[in-house]
Amino acid sequence: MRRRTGWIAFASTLATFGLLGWLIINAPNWPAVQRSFFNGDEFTGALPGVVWAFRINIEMFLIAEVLTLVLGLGIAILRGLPGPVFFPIRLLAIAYVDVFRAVPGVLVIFFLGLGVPGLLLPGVPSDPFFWGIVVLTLIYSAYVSEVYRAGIESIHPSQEAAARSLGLTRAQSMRYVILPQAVRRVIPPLLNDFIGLQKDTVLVSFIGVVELFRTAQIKEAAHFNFTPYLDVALVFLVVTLPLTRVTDWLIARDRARSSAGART
Amino acid sequence: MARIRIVIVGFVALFAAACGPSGASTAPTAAPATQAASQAAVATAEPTPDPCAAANLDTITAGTLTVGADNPAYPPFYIPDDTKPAGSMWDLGDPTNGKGLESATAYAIAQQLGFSPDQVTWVVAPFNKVIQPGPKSFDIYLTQVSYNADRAKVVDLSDGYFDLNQAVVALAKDPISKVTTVAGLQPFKLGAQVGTTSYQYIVDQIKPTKDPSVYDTNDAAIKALGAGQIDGVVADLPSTFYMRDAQLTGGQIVGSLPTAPGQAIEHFSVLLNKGSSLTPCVNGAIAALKASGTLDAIRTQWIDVAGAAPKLQ
Repeated sequence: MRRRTGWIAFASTLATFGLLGWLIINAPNWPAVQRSFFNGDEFTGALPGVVWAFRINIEMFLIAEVLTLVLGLGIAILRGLPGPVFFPIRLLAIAYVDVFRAVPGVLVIFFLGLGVPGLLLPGVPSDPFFWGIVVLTLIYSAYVSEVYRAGIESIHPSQEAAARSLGLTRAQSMRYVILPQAVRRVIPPLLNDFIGLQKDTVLVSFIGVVELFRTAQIKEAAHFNFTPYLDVALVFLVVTLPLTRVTDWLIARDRARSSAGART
Repeated sequence: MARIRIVIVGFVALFAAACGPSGASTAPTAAPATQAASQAAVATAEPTPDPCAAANLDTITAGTLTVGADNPAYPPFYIPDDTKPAGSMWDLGDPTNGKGLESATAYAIAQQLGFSPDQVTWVVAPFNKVIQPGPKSFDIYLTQVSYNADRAKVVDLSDGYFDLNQAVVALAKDPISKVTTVAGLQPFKLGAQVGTTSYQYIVDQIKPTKDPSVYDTNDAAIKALGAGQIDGVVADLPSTFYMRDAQLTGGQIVGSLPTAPGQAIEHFSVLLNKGSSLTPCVNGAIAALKASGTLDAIRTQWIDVAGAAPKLQ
């Protein structure tokens, strides 16, 4: 039975992609498109430079991801503070999330990456790499704080009530009861945002950093050929796919453990 | 799981097929043929009907020469009128007025081919649209496209209508402005616009100790210069004059850079669709405009007025 399903899947896949491929390759201008977008020589020629430049993106997203996790959680907790005294803080947190989710990243990077150093304030760094990390952290903290908030709000209020009745303070019940459950629930959407963040490291090219996208673009412009972007796509896939699979596996393992014995 | 694996194999196969050897069937070198045709056209213009006469040219719109340029169109290649015409889509420069090196050159080429100025129409063509495969929205395109052999494999690039050198612009108050040699630029952080030969010049000729920065536009490079993120911007010499005079306060041209040793002087080419029947005619027109001194006159009028720059050794 399994075997038969496999063959049907195989035949269907072959037919679908075969037809797609046939359509593309028989398009009137395919040879020119192939030369410009799928050029073997350009692909291999650009690959070493693109891969080497990717180290800058990696460095950037590793730092920004750690900062984002911390800042995003902070904002989510601030936003959840109860009572009228904390109203201004909640307001600030809401405004922060609204602004940085709404404004396109390119604009933030121009304003902060070129504008702020342009003030020539003493002591303010001008390094675009630094500003790239700042901008990525600001934008993605806004997204991630909403993910955390959704996680926190998904934990039933009875959990907090139970924790408080055991004598835990509000902070302690957040730290030891709510957050551990909340964070576990939001790992998949967190990963979503991390993949977004990794891709958005290319934004830093707008303020002069020659990272992998810019490296590809330089090659594109030198040869009038778009194939180097294929190298970029491949590099991102190579990084993102294993990460996705590992996370899927982690989630599955976690679910199996937490529902041990129960059939779902 | 087995299913997924099969799908992946399918993708890889498709990808491999797409990237496979492309050369043999589709890349006959057209360049020598068109150049020969160009000379033939010039030599035998009299007896047979002239294939380069306006009426015989296979333009996008018959009887009209459609010229492409990027928007904004930068001075001194495209220069605006004092008041912008109502409804004009062009920013900074206005290609339609004949002012500026490339606007004037385009109208001169058109006239040489037999088009009157009102038979010339302009379209906006962003750089990436210009170099993508497939039909073009213009017959000829002039926006500071430097010739190189790799580019000429993808599009037709005419003979040069303007020879140029690269140059460095900086702030007069900065130490880089005292530099007098190419080697003297090495310790500085330089910037350039992406897609320009300027970046290539920095990497290949100046070989600075700090990685150069690359921006989408010269405008962003200028902002970075003002913000102290880079010490100097490398661009073609006419553009550096515009930056100094219009975009920077306290700007100074450090100097023009020598042509790379062993290489021909850089030139801007008219860009046409690959294998365009117009290419030999445009080359013929450029040759005629060179011979008649028209191109020199255009250069004098729009470029040399900015003055001279010190030459870096």
